[in-house]
Amino acid sequence: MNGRVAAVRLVDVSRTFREGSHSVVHAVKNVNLEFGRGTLTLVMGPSGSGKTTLLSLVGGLLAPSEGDIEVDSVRLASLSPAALTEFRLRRVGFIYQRFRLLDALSASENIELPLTLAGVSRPKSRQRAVALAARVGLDDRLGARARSLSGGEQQRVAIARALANDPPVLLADEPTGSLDSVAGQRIIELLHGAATEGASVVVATHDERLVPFADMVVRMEDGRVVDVARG
Amino acid sequence: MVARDAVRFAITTGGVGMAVVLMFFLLALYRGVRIESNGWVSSRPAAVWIAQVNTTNFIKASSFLPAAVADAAREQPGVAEAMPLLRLITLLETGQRHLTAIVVGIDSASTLGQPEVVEGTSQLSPGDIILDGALSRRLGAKPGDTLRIEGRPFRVTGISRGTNSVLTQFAFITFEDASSLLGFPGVASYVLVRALPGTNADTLATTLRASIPKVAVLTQLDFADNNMDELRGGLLPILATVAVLGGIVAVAVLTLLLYGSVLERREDYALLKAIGAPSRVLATVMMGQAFAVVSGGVIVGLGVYAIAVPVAARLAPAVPLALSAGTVIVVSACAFVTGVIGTLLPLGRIARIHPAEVFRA
Repeated sequence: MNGRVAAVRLVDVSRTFREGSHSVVHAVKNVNLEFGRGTLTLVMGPSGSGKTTLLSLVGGLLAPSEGDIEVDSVRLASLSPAALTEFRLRRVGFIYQRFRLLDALSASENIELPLTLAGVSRPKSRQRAVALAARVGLDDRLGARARSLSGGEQQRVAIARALANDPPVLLADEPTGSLDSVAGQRIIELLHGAATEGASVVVATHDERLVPFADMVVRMEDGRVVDVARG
Repeated sequence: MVARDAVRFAITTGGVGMAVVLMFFLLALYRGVRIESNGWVSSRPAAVWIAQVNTTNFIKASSFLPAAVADAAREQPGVAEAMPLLRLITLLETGQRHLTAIVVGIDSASTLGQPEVVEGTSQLSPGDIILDGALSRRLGAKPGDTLRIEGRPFRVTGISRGTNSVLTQFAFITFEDASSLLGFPGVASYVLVRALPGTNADTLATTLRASIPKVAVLTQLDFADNNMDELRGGLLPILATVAVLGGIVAVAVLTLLLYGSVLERREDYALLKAIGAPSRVLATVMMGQAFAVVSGGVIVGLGVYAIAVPVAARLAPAVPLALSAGTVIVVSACAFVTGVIGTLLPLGRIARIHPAEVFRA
């Protein structure tokens, strides 16, 4: 943790899934981790190692079968479903491998979406979208429909959307997985920048190019943390 | 969201529009037949109809009376005017076309028999004929043209409306011409009687029944009702059945379209859930989309209807279409209600979408 305050704390966290009527899959097993504020953490491992499940648990998308998760001093188990929805809106930003923009909306409208959901007024959300677009280098593409943007541009819009409510935690699942090396490099820089500005950025990835930027690299296998290396 | 995706929006609203236009057509047809087929009979400014014994209506009955019945009626107290009319079912020919129509011989000086003329004149001289609008289009005959009945030429002088009984149409000639075509002088089919001001139609009917033997005397109201009953027993139930079935199909299509359009955006809803959209926001978004789609569908339906009516009138001139503002309002309201149902049906499935689905590749 490099002495920084923990933004995310997982204590003895496990998550199982039922597969059929008898089989149980242990997607995450007895994980104990802390992700600090202002750090970039990589969660690496082969497919099926539990990286995405770990992100879903931290993001409040899945509840752990066992253990406790605390994000930004909030114990997720204590939250009602409505409070959990509010938590995701204000305290977590999500970035997906396939961008997950709403195709029919413009880049600006996609960025404004979390702000609109948070009840921010139209002029203020617009102003924020302009600032975020400038930050990710898309100020000239604000009016473009999401589907007309390149993969790299779409992912930058997704990052701007994730940053819209200035969340303390940013979770990215294979953010460079669908991009070429140049676009991928830009995304790495943006995620590193977000961490530098104080967010706890947790990235599930296979991409070794991110390692030099990471403060901590967590390696997983079969749902277990097998190695934690601090930068 | 759906309103912003032009192709998807066009397909969905187009489908809804077709369902709406189907209902417009079926209900306009039902109303058109109802109005047109009984229009001329029900709008007669008469108090009483005199017909042959056992005759109760104009559409499905034969009636022959001595024309002198009209003279006898005129002598009765309370009678302002009595006009004999002669009804023939005969062939009208124009060049290559020939159609059977109900030809009504009237005294054009009296308003008792005059149809509502929308083009040309309502005045008839010997050798003149007024054609129903649909009949005119089917025959391809307009004012100034000449057609033939039993080899005799008749000049078209007017076009009427409210004179289309759907299965056939009405044409009007002078009573004398009709009598001549029939070949039996001194015969009438019906006698229309106008009452003096202040004379009750029922009282007048009673008086006429008592004074003129061996005839049927019916008030205008009863005669028009009998006519409508004949229609209700014939074409109207078929049209009503078709309209109901069409309505069921339209509702099913509309519901399926909206249901499908909601479910096909499952990933978008998963994303919204993941980034923190509460259920009420999702419901509002879905309802907003249903409203946009149905509104677009109603506009498309009205547009298609407006374009299709002149085409239908050209292709099937005898088919009367009468779309009322009330029908538009009712069909639109039904479309919106169906839209709400079509949106509510998948709401449970949308509510069950797990936000973690958004991580699926």
